[in-house]
Amino acid sequence: MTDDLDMPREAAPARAVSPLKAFFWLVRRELWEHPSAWIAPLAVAGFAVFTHFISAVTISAAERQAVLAATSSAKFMVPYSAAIGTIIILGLVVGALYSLDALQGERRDRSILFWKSLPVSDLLTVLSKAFIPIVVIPASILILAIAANLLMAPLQSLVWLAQGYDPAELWGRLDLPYLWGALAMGIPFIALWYAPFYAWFLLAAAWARRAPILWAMAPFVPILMVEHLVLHNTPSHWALERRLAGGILEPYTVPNTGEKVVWIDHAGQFDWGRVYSLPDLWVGVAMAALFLFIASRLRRSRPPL
Amino acid sequence: MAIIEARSLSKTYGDTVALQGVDLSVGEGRIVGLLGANGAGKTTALHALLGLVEYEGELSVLGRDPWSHREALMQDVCFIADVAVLPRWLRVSQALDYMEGVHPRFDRAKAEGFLGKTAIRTKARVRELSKGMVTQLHLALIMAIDARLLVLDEPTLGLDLLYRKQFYDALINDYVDHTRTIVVSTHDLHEVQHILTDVVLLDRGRVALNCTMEELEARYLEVLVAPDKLAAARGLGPISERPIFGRTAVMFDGVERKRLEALGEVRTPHLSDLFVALMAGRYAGPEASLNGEAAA
Amino acid sequence: MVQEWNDSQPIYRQIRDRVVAMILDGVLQEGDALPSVRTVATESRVNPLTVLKAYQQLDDEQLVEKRRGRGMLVATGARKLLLSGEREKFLSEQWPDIQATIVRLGLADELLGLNGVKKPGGEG
Repeated sequence: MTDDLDMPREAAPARAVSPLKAFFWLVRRELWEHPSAWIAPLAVAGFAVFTHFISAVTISAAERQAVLAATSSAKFMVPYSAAIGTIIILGLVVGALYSLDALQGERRDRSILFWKSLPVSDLLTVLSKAFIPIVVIPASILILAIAANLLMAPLQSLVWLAQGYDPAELWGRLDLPYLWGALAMGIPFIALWYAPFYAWFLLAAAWARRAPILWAMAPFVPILMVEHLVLHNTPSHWALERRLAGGILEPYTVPNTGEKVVWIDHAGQFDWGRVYSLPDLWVGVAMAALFLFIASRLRRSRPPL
Repeated sequence: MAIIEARSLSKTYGDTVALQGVDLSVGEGRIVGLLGANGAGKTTALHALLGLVEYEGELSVLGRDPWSHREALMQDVCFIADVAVLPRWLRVSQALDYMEGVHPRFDRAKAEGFLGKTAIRTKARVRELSKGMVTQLHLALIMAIDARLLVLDEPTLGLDLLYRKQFYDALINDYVDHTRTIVVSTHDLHEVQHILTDVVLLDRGRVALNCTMEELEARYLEVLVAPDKLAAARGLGPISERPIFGRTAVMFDGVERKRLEALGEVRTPHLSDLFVALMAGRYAGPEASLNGEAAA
Repeated sequence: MVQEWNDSQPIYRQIRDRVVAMILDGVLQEGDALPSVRTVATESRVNPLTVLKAYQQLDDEQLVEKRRGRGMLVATGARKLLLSGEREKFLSEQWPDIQATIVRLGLADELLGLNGVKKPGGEG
């Protein structure tokens, strides 16, 4: 025998890859593929800081006097909580758009045949995709909101100084830690509350050949039609609206105030126990888990487009 | 242990029968060519082997059922489904990072060694690479996996001559180093013909031929017959005939070489001509010429 | 060894013949290493096992020897062995046909009278 092709070589024993390590890389891969998941919220945060700065500069003297005359800190906080609110809303939208594409894009460009050539399970893959809108984006919302506020305050102080006002008046009335505390306590709730939506979108994307958003909405059409014809009302429509708004309203408004929406205004009113024991929350989480499981089975068996 | 064992493998998509009653046995270290026309079922067969599609019948790859154990199987099997499946947004460095992080048998240094011989920059994205370079990249990633089975589905489709040559060079070199088992489906009969150890020909979902190259060369012979000997040739029960330059190439299955040498110049038929003969079923002859015996 | 293969002989046979030609032409001297299996396989796009088979054939014919750490070497006396074998083969298999052709074409005087080559009917 020549030196080549001697004994057939025994395959070297494989080093084990823990599921956690694989999961880490799966999530990183998602972020490589969808940088908009963090770029869009970053852009919105930057935009919020910028508009706040501009409005501080251009506010008229009369308006400024009116604001200073107010005693509650609420008026001062409005721009800060508005910035946070915008970042949250956009983060939720980005999460939705991501979920509608995540399991469809890889079939559309056939890259799924590459991903599936590696020893990673469909379930772990789907979980990594769910991780983005349910954990990564909410975490980035928290960080970006605080960062935005941290930029807004000094900028506003500078403007005040330039315009001859005393920044101490501002700082005396701002209660940013309250705002941030409420946000930090509520973000996990928001993430879990909207999880079934994201899981549903992921499922629709795993099923659909085209236009996942239509498939996501499709099942509701016959339901609404039947209700309209039979009940002359559309309770599921209202239920859906309640669910959509609930992520923000449940943690941050006072319950049982009827038609009027009353926002909580100091951290003491953030009711941990009530909010996190809402049955609707956990039913939603269970449904999300079910949708994700079905999505992973679909990813296993649906062919590339 | 057989690397691949299939018995009565079948797959139907709605009304279309993609595979029917496929029996296959691939031993270790073999290089099997899976050949056939478009739509013959090659890709379906490969997808079944790789756990991408459900099937009827029995199938075992490296001792496992691919459909229910895909993730575990992918540790020991690597495949190139098609050169166009690397995601276009992926950077070369990201591909290396990801594979290192996720595949227990991936050797990053080896992959970088392969890539070092190409013009591929580490920071480049797949969409910036030419088709040939994408193949080089995919192949570099695949070859760096210490896998026992390599499955290639039309790997040289659309590549120019230079990249095809590099592809086969890399494949042969890798085979000398590792003696993996390789299953390759291709139209490129001329180029792979001498590399293959076994041939499986699929025709409309069924196995039309399944034998080693040695058996094929012993069994199928073609004679270039002058017009005066044509009748005699026909008397020996050929499986096909076609005119060439004033003579007729008559093909036989299982007829002794000595008898044929009396009729004219004897040679091994080109694979493509053999397949046309087997698939056209021009001679409703013995069933044996359409259903090959199973290979070792 | 970069050429097309003909289809009338098994590939391993043709590789064997090429190595033989290289030895006869003096391209490979006694003691030289044969081109590596890897090189031959990649250059001619042939299964390495086929190349191995050819080399094994050469080993069986005692034209080459295996040496640990150095690969396949051309055996001492290989050229002589080959020459006598090839001569024998040429004279018994090919020469009669060539002779007949020369006669048929009427070139016997031109080609065979010269250089002391024996005319047909004489010793081989």
